Amino acid sequence: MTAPTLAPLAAPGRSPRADIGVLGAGGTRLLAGPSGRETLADHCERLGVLSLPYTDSARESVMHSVAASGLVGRGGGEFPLVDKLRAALRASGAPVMVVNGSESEPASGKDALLLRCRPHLVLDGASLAAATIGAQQIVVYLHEDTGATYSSVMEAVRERNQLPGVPGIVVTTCASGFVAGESSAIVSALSGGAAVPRRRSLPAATSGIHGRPTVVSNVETLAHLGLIGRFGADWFTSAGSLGTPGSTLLTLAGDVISPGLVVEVSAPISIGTVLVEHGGLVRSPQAVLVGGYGGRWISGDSAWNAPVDRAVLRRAGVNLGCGLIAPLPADTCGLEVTVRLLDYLAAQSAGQCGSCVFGLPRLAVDLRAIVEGRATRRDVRRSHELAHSIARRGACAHPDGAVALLESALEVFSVDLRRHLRGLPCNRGVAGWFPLPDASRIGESR
Amino acid sequence: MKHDRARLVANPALCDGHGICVLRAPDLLTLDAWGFVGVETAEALSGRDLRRAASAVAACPERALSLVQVHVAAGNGVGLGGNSSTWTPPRRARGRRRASADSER
Repeated sequence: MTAPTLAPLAAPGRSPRADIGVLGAGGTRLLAGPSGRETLADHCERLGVLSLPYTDSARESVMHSVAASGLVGRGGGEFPLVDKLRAALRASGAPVMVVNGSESEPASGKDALLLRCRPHLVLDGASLAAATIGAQQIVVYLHEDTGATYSSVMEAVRERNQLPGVPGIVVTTCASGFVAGESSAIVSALSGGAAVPRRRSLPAATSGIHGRPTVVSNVETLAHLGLIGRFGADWFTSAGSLGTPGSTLLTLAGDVISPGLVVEVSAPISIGTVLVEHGGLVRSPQAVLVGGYGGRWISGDSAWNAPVDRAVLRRAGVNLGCGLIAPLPADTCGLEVTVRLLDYLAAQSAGQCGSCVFGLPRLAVDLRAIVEGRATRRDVRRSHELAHSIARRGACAHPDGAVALLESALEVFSVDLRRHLRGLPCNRGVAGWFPLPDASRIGESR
Repeated sequence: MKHDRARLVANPALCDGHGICVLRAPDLLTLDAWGFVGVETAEALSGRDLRRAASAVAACPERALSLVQVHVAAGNGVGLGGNSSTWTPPRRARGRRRASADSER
């Protein structure tokens, strides 16, 4: 596999940041406003009450705005929102709108931040989507161990009872777990089954919960929709690039001054600029993990100039995913970190597909042998073959994420790999503050 | 049900690694290191390939394989569009399956 090349995108022919007065400085949109939780009264005073479409022509105009905005799923799937809405409109049955707040990436914090600080912006987006597809019910789906997020959403639902004509909002929680937030797992859980991914012949938007059209959408996507419904598609696309219109939330982790910090940026800002401005870095790190635990390692130098643009990154084989940007500290061994992440991903398998159940632990064991100097070049080749045979064999993309993580690690940390194969120490440890999942919790959530 | 053109799809969550399907359609299916199935092609099948695929679908005791009918009018015949229909063979009664397996021996 060739190394991903990341050419910075040429500056677009329009102003990257054109803000409406009510929004914050520095191009922030979702995170504009007060620093803490915004109550319904403050929210309505700052942004006005969002008017919902009740006539066919009003619905048509919302669909038109969503299509023109180019808004895609910000949970990592990057599926165009308008396609989901269209499919739900075409399908028969009473539609359901699901707010996916089950941010399963352990190091990501953007969805939790929105639900804690801007719950009404998210619920505005959900109400707008629900009204557009004619859904009478909104379900907010959260992991069970998210106390502050849960209370913020519950409080928001209570506050919204005073708004006229709001669809019913139900808040439900499910067992935590990496794959429980996948949209087919959510549909399965809300249909009364287990929260595990299912292979479906029809998309959820056509036939989801009990066969009803079900639009499952990420929290950030809906927050953007809440603003698009107010200010329109032209305003939305006035920030960002053609590949990633609008602003984007990123979670910084790893070798940054405040891990867990959520920042709002607009393409074509580069990952390097984000890390300098918000992460306190002065030069490029040895590598950056992009997109989440099932994301990819990119060498520090190519990440430095890479734009935060989903289209450009995708062309280089990188998925921005949930927006995790985690630079690896210089004194940390990327291969060792990868072993631990693979252990975590293996433990988070839903246990359904053979390739995932047997394959992921094996990938982790093989890489551990490499790191501990018990492997040869041939073993590395076998590891590659094994990874290749697992890819795209699951009912969901969980094993594919682990394969991408491993393949990118073997490529980016090739110098360390050679040292490990010769049994030499790479003189790097594992710094405790890299966002490794808590080992004691691995596996218990299944 | 008879199809002119159809795609072979696997539900990996149902596969239990019996491996009979690969004997029926070795060009279309492969097993991973642990014997779990994977479909090698996403293209619409016809003719001999389709007959072999149907045989593999019928052979799976877990009903993990299915044929997705492709309407040529729908375009290049790839993808799960609104006018696709899936077909999996009806599950045979356990007793009958054992009986037929015995008679083959």
